[in-house]
Amino acid sequence: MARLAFIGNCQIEALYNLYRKYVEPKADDIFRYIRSYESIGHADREFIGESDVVIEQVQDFRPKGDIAGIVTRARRIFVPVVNAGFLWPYAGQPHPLNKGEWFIEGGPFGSEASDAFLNRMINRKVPADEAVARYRDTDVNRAMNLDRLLELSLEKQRARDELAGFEIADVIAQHFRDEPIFRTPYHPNVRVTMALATQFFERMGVSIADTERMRASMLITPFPKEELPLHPSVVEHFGLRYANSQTRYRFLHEGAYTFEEYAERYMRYEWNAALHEGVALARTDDATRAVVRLRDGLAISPRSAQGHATMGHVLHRLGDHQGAIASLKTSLQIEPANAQVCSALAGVFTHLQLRDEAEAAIREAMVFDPFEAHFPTLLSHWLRAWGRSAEALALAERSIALAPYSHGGYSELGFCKEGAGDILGAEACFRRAAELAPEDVGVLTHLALLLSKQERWLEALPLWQRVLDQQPDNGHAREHLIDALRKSGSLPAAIASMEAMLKRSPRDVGLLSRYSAYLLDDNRPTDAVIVLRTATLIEPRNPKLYQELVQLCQKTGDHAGVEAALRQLMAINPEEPGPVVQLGHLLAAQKRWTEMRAAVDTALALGGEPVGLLCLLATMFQETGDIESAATALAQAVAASPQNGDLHYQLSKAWHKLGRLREAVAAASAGVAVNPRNPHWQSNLGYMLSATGDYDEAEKALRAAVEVNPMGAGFRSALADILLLKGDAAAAVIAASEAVALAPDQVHYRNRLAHMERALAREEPMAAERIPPTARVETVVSVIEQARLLLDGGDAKASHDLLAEAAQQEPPNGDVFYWLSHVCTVLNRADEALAAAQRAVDLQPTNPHWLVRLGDLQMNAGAPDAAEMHLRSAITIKPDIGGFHDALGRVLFRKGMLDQAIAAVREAVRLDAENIHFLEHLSQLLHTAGDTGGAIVALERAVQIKPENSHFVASLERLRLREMAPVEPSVATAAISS
Amino acid sequence: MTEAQIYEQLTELFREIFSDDDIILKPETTAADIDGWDSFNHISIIVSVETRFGIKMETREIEGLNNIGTLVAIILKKLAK
Repeated sequence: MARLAFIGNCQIEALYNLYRKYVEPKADDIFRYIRSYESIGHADREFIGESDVVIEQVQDFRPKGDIAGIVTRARRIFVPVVNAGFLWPYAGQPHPLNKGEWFIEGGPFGSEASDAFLNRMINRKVPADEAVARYRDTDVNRAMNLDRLLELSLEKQRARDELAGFEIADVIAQHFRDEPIFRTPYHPNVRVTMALATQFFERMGVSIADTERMRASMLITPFPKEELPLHPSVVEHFGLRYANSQTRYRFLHEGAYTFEEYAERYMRYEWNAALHEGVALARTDDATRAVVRLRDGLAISPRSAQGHATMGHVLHRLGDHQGAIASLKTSLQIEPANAQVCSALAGVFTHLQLRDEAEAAIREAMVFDPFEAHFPTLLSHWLRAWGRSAEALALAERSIALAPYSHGGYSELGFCKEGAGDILGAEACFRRAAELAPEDVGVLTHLALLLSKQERWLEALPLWQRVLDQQPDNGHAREHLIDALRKSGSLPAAIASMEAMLKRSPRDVGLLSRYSAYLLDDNRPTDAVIVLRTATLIEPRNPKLYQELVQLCQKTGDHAGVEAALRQLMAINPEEPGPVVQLGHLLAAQKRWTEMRAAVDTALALGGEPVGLLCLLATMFQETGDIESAATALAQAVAASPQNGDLHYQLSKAWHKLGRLREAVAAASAGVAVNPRNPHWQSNLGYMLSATGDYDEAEKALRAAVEVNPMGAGFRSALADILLLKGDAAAAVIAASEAVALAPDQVHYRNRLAHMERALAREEPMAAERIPPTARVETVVSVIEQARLLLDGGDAKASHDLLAEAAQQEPPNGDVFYWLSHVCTVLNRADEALAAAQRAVDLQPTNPHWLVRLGDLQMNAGAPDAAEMHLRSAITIKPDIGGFHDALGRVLFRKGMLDQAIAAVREAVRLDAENIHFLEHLSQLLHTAGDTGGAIVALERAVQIKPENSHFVASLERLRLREMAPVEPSVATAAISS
Repeated sequence: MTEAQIYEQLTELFREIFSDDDIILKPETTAADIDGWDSFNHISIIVSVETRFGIKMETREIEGLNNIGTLVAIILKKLAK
């Protein structure tokens, strides 16, 4: 890091600006410009004292060892003051009336715009006309030997050059007759400025490339554009080729005047204060006042290009875009080649979506100033927005070529590359921009956003923190920081950061909503509900909040809360059928049939989706014993949605209950036709066919079910039944054994197997011998079956006692302990349940079902690490059971390992793609992870499988709404600031 | 030309240059005593003096000027030649 202090008048300030613009910055270099003609303050004195390089001016004396009394060891670079006072022999003494204003610090007629001859006339009260005539007719050379003045001026310049090691005097001597090398005595034009800057860059060791770029880019002087008129006799004496008595010289922003006009205005102290105040006001927030003063000023100086241009800027700010265009065009009529005004005009056109006009105007600006990098950057930005990415990229690269140290240019190029899919290139550009402007919040934000989009949370985190260090109230950045904390697994830190944000904006309902979601993720559902209810108190008519409340209450099992929130939604928007449908489902689950019927009727009247509502009605009819009406409702639903296989499936069951087997088989067949890969529908068809006595077709259907889902124990057990009915007891025993092997904890399958083994022994004793007997199945089954019957009958205590007694017997049996753990759970004896499950696993550590059971209990007991270990063991033994992976996903989520949880549930879905619970779980996890698109896809699949499930439909709708209308950061920021 | 005459003409010239009829030049008067006399117009003042008195000062003489007394001495010396 180096400190560079630039000390001097406007000439040093110009060099400072050129150095900053064109020279490659070294990391952490610190620059400061200090006006030498003002008393140096404490901070500046400190800076000079600690500087590594001091750039200062050489006046007409040898520089001292110290700098204004400050002892320094800094390397000192001297730059000669340059001037051409010989062209303006009477300059240097301000107008007697000259007075600075807030909008023109040095006054209108300060030293650089002064004339001592006219000052004498004013002091002697000579009438203006007479004074101007006398001055015009004066031969300046007679009063002051101009050649001697030139000689002495150049001599002094050479002396200063020599002290500083520059060569400027010769440039002045060689060119002052051919071109206006100065605009006022101390404000050089391009040639002298370029010579000064080039030699200065050499002293500073600037690269040739940077120096050449500076030289190529400098089309106009960086100094003020005002000019001090040359006396005609001076012009004549020196033989200046570029001026005569009619030459016009620019005065401030007001226009251009001849020598005589200028002298007259000077005598009368005539200048346009309104115009200058208007221009200055335009840089403040008081745009309305600026317009008033600019109008007054332009009435006096209608040829002020600057005045019209400023008026254009202000009118644009005030929303008068047509007025802005008119003003900017007037400015360009007066000064046609003004690139900045062309650029401003392009900006107004862009605002009005007049793309062709905007592009033409900015391209004109690029013609007038082909070295200004801002113009191609701007056009690149627009073209990118207009979908012309390739052209935008080319322009951004051109911009970088013009200004290789512009962080803005690199940011734009980064956006272009990101848009083109070149993420690495984009990142490199944003990182370069951050190097060039390490404190620029915009640059840091761009880079952090790019990293966040790539889910590189740990890299994004420090960048967001740096943004917040500079802008603690930047709500947009804080939200991203919180998101990054959350995604990187630091949920408590994310919650703490969100709480800090809420202290600043306690009534921001969006923030409260997110806070609630995070609390839920942190397993604090009660707090989550309280927060969301607080949000509804702030915005009692905000439907989004109630939708979230519905979801939250659903997750926490608070049915009353769900109902209350749904009724609020219905009150807010009585024309919306969605909440009514949801309410219908809730009421159906609670068997509140009368209210449910009313809700369904209302939903249908509002245009709610009829299939789901007909299914609700069917459920109601079935539950109330009116199967005929249920079948009618389902048949209507099937007619409305014939591609919905599940409806056919439900209808077939209804027909079966009514004893109408032919219709039942037809409906089941229709379901299978929709999707032959659904094992449940195939199994259902097999069941219906077996009821009609068509065992062959039934067997085919069940074998199809087994083929689709070979791990489904129920399908094999059902197949065993059919095979037994067909008289093939041996095949039935094999199928039943497979079912028991797949689900050893299912007593029903063991019972069926025992039943079939008995049949086989009775009917085919020879065959029975060839099949290995299932050890102790019947004895154990009888105890367990009895315990289950007691449990189903509501006598959990007796069931427990029976199993506890069996558990005492030798040798110990894992099944008994496994079921004992179930019964203990029912009895709320968590510790005993856990101990029993552990005993079962100890007896048979390779039983995956028992391992899963133990894992579940351990998770509930607050031992997620042990739970994870047992679930992973179960998966190692039996990797192809979706439920195991799903359970593992829940444990991992509880442990805050969101990405791994998602991976586990994805595996569950892969193994059982038709399982709607897995799909819903996956959707929830993806949504939590911020992948709303993925969450939607998962839930869409669930809805496809079970379209009548209104809970899924409503959740899907909400996800889609979020995906379509994300909260704009700017809106959030505005909400925070308000 | 006497020293007094030089002071008289020089005072007249300075009053004209600086538009200040109150200027009274003394041997010890320096640039700091006259409002408006700065490095910006120093050369113009020197040339005006040279033109008024028809003299030409050496560079070292200009650099050695530290008050009006020195200037008057130089003028006297140049006019005597």
